[in-house]
Amino acid sequence: MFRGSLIFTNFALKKDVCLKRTHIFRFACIALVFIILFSSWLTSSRISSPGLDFFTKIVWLNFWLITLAGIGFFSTAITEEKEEETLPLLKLAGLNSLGLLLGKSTVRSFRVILLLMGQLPFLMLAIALGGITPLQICATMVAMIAYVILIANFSLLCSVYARRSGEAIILVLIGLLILFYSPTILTKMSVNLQSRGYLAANELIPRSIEAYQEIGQEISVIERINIILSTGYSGSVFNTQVTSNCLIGLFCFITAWFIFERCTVTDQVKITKRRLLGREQKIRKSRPGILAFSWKEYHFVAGGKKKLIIKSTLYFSVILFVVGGGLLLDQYSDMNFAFSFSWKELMNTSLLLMLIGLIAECTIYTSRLFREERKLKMLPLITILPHSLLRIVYEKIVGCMMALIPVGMAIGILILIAPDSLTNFLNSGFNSLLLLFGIQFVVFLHLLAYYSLIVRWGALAFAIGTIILVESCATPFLQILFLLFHVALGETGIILPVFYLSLLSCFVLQILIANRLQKLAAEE
Amino acid sequence: MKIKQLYPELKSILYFSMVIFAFPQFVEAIEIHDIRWGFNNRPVAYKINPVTLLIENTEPTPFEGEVQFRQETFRGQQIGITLSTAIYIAPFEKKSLQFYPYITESANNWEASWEHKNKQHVQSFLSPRPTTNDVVIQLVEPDSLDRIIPGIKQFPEDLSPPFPGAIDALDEVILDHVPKWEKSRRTTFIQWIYSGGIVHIFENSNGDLPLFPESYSPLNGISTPVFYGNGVIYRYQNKLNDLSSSDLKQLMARNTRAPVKQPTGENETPAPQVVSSTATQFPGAVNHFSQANDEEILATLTDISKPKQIWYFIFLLSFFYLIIAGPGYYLVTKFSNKYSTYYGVYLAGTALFCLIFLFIGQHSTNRTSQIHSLIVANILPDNEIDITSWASLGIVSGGKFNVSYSGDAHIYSACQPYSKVNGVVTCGTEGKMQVDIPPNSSCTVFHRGKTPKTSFNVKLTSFLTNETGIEILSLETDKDFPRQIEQVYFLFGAKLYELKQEHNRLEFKGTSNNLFSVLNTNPLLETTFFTPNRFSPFVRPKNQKDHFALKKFFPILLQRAMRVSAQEIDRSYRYPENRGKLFVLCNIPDSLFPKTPEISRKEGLVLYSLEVPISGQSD
Repeated sequence: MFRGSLIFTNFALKKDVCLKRTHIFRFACIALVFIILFSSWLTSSRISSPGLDFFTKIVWLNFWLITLAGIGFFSTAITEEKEEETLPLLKLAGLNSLGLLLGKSTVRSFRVILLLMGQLPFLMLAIALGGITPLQICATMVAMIAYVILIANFSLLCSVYARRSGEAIILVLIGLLILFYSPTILTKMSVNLQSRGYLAANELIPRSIEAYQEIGQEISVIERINIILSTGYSGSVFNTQVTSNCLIGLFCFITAWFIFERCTVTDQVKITKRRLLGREQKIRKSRPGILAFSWKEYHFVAGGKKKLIIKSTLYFSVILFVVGGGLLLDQYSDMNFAFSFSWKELMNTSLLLMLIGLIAECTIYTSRLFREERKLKMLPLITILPHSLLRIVYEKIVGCMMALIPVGMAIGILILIAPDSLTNFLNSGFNSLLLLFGIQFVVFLHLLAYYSLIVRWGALAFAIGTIILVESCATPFLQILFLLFHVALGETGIILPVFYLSLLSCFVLQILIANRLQKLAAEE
Repeated sequence: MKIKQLYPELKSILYFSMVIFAFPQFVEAIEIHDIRWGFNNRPVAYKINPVTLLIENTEPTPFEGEVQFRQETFRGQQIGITLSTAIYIAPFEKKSLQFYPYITESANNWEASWEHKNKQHVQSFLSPRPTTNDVVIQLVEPDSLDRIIPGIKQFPEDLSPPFPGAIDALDEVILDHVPKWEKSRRTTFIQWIYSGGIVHIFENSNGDLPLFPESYSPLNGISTPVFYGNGVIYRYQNKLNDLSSSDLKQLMARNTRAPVKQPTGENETPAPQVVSSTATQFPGAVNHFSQANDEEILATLTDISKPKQIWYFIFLLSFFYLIIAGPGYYLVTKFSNKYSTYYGVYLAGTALFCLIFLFIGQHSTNRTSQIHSLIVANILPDNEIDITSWASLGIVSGGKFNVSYSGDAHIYSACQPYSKVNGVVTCGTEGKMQVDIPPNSSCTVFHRGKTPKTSFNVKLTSFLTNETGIEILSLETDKDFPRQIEQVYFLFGAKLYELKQEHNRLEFKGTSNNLFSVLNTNPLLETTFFTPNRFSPFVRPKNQKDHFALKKFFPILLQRAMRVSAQEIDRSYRYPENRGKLFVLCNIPDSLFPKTPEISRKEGLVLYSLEVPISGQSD
């Protein structure tokens, strides 16, 4: 039985080796490490421990890329088969559940581990740059491999359980949030409630939270990396984090194996699709005018008038909740609690939350801009309409932008009530960088739209990954540029070229999006 | 768990409620009410600036503990080193607390933290964008209601720092009263003038020029201007209230450290200046050149003390590995049908290159810890030495180090605006730098302080000038004169005269340099030696650092010793002719190196500067 299970794994490994793109991707990853090494060497005079600095950069870059891979790459291992409806075919071919899991997920994690190992020789050069020991490098690599095992198998479990890739991605995100952030959030809540007199330090809840935080720290790869990278680290390569991550990974794999059959027996994707279509038919009420695509996007992607009302209510409730709740909480808190949330601070917080909402909405709508057309293979039909592709795309964007009206209104009203909240934000020292943040966000949205046409799932993860990679490569060079020319050119002299470069990237990405759309339309 | 059951509204409410609870803001036993950046609420770039926090203890019990102050990026990562100071605040009292951070050109977040009842408390501040202009302040009594002069900030005299190193960022002071200072602040102020500060004294509200006590003696001169060391004191027969803001600025712009007409002797007493409506601003020929800041000096020292590695060979190997990792492994799959061969070659290749790079990394580094240092030692009139030092500590084994200097009034900084330095700095008499240095890495130390160590003195024995400058110059040295001398120069007028040592005499042998051309040189910008690292090691493996001796830093040290800014240097710059200045560049004595027992190899140069009065001493 076990030998039969390995056939698919062997096949996946062999296929992986034969693919040209695997070699190109590996070469690109190792070359990226080399570029960062070179930039670290260039700036080594300015940094006391250039080796440690270089190694830290690479480690965190790897951490984020592995996390993103968990969200977008590992979590779709089984769901993509469910959506393509190829699982029954694989089963017909005689593949058992273990073979499928090993071939689909374990091979993916093996690929990532191999990539990590490929970087190792360059990481050893950090010793020559100074500031790090071979023990620290080995310990970090082992910790990262254990983290890959954990995230790959947890994502596999989510992928087996979920009906669609979107659900699997959300489950992985929730899992990661619980793993990394819940101990900190719970501790802060506990401290806040203690300081307000609602909880005593020796009660069961605060003590349980404290214990939970300790366990969270023991398991967390973030904490482990921080410990390893501190000076004078002389601990073992293997520790609780490595063991626990491997064991949790194994547990997730076994669980996924056990629930595999139960979760893949019924064809639930079709049911979901039917339910969704039914709901959409109920919502549709008005008729399209001249801007048919804007109408379509407004009603089907943005959710129409009903969703607009719900969102407006939600945003204004949030403002009321933050401002009113903050003031009320202070009023009914313990008398020792002398300092109150000021009106200004609460308005600033509300504005910040609304801006986060705006960014989140822009991201969601951009990722959904071409999704339905691609999924339903409507692109060839769209291209034969008597409209240019450019007009269709911009009409779609206008339709999606109408969904931003509630959040835009909330921001506008906040600024009208408390203009200080905007000026504080602008004067917060970011002013020279705001332009840069803005244009980089626009580049990110373009990338997202482009990736949504390239990959079926995980476009967001790919876009974030690309931005992280580009930033990692560009930052050291910008730093050198700043060091060399800031006296002559000033800060603006450095920022403006980046701004124009970003604009150029947007232009190039728009051309790529148009080409890709035409290609997809022709293929389908 | 069914996701669809969680409506988006409910999810959002849950999320936002968590956000509200996640950022607790509640009253602290210690409250920071005010923060003052530098002298005019805007720090000076590339200088040590005093940052004053007004702290209140809101509890009925006294607060005794340490407050730490550190810089952070906007992403929340610490950069530079942490500054720490101990404080005691009585119940319900307010107290001012000063930190002395090194501030670069960009605005950053700063964080003050303290521990109270076993809990860590933090408060963040955003620094204003630093300025590169000269700082002029009006020194006022605390809570003074004096007229505010537009464009000139008032600075309460009780906040004046008691350490000379903390006032480096200050250029000019306007004064119309006698400050009520204890000895340390008084001495610091006088020493600041000596090292190059400018004081403008105006009449008080009664119409009299302030009469300073004996301890402020240089301020009591009848003449104007009074040159004291590198500094100048100007006295005006005007009341500040009578002058318009533009008149005052015009007047002060004329009176800089290098005026058009210099007095030829101390007895020459030009009349005190009175503002006239026709006064015009002197059109100074500003010469722009890049002055090396502390961070650049330290980066160069680090570069010198860095292990001499064969980088061109390392990069050649790296390139080879890249070829193997890309096309190499791809070719393996083409030549072999078995995929296991590919994985075998991949793992073996990785292991082989790991070993090669590990070997290079471990055996190409320096095996001795060393210090490279540069010092400017200004000998003050009371025989104290005002020290400015830069040091780069190259450490092999790593660990926690205590870096301290002899003397007092210490101010330390790592001058690292790009990366975190694991350490804590305390300033003052017992000031030190406790720093965690990783193995095979370096740590930079910038130090300002004073030392009462015995300083040398010289006696002018022969002095004769002609129309071109000095013709004969001979100085007699005492027993404390430094031994291992590199260069000796005597500054007179606009020229630097090179002196040769003969037994216990220093003689001028006819070689001189123009001061302007020496000051207008920045050796760090030489094409053969340029930081950060160059591309040249790829094509020219020959190491240029060997040709860069520490004595090439002389122009930079001279600029620092004379405290002249880029704006002040032009061809008309002349040192006051009733005095000269002796510059002695020699090896650093052990007593001036940082006290770190773990480091035995120490290398560096010190530039002593000593004022030599000329009138009444020459033959």
